[in-house]
Amino acid sequence: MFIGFHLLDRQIIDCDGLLVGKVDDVELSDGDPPEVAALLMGPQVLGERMGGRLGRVLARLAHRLHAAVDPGPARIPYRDVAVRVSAVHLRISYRDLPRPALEGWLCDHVIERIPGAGRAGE
Amino acid sequence: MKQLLALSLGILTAIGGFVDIGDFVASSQAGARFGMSLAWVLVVGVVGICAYAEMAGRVTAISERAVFDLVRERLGPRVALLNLAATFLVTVITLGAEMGGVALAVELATSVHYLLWVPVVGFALWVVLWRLKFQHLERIFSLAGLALVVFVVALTHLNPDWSGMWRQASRPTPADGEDWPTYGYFAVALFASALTPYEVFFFSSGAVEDKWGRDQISTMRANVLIGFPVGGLLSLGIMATAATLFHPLRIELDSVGQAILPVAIGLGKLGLVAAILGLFAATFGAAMETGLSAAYTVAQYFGWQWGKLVAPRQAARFHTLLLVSVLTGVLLLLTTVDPVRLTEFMLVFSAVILPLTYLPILVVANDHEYLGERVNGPVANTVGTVFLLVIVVAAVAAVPLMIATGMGG
Repeated sequence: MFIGFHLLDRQIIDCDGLLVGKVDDVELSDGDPPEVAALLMGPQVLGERMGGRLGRVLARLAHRLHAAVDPGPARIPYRDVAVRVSAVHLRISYRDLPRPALEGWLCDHVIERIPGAGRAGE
Repeated sequence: MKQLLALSLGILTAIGGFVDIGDFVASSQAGARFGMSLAWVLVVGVVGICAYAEMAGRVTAISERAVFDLVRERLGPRVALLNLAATFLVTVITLGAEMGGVALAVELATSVHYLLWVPVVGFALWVVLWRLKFQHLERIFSLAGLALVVFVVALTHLNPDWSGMWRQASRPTPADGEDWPTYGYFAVALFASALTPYEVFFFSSGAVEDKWGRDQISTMRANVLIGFPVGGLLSLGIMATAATLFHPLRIELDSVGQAILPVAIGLGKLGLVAAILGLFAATFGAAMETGLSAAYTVAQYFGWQWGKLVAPRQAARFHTLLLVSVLTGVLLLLTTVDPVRLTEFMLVFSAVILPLTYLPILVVANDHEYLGERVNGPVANTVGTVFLLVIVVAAVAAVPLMIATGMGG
């Protein structure tokens, strides 16, 4: 498997088919040859991986969105990956992962306050 | 029988959904200034959107992924981010133009100034997108957009000079008193109006949510390959009425009210009602599609939850984007920019970013990892590659032509 071509930037989908995020970066193990230990998510990791001015701007922007303490990137151990096809499917639910800062803030301060926020479409 | 009904409904929806404010403005202006001598551009544009919509539909049905979702995997995060920024900007401008079209249609019906309708239109649009019943509504608006067929009916009542129109159409050169750069500028705008990028994003994202599979490919092909060409005929009808009424008098069109005048002359009040209704439905439907497309592209780049299958509180970032996009569209119109001018701008910038949308589709449609044996055949690849060349020429020429001609002068 070429990590760059078959894993990075793929969509991550949880066990219920909900969208979790993208494989913004990966964590490699120390072994030889190194193996993928975990998937990393979040705009900050993405910005750091991209590098350059654009990447720095993205990383700084993402850093500012965190409340008091920076929780670090969302990390999904590779053993939680069930299948890897055109997307990466997880064994676990998105509820088992930390809630992304931006999603949490927008949900609590904007979307939840509008009537009908709990109703799914059809 | 039921399948036949579903099939014809899909085709009718594609026909009605084809025309939006961009097609309306570009077709009527081109008809008034150049008669039918730009008709070939519409034909070429329709072939292009058919080829690429078919690819996008096939990619989505087999990989279960929307088109913009795949852009980042294949272009890398950096190029895809720049692509996203350009696409999002153009889509929000398009959203503003479509909402302007809705407000102008309501002004024609009520005689109340369109700027007063803009906030109402924005709110109504947002409510529809928030309540997420838009799938049915989108279909209803597309079907109501079929009312634009009155342009074709009106044409037959205007006693057009058919042989003269054919002569213009078969000689693709500028009309007397017009120059080549202006001809080129209108050709690019007309081309962009048929291929507006939001169409493929909306189409493929909708297909993901409807859980299309291999079985739906033939239905999708019928919708695209029959629906879009017939939709293109509506645009051609709009162009032909303008060519019949305004071109001989050398009248240039700069308002939507003028563009529907041929229908009033040909068919009277009832025709006018149908034309206004058609314009309203077509632009409102397109406003829903562009608003959603703007939010889809961002959410799909970052991998956020998007779509109608979950409650808004589970897709807070997506719904905030929708809200912000609609609000930006409203604010854009409230600067009192002329919606027709805004549409012209939107078409030029759509032309510029067309390669960013269509190149990744062609690349992914040839990728065995996503498509297995359903990759492009020789026909799709030949048409796709030729089109990509045309698209690149249009993209490169768009801004210089806009500046050289002062937006068509």
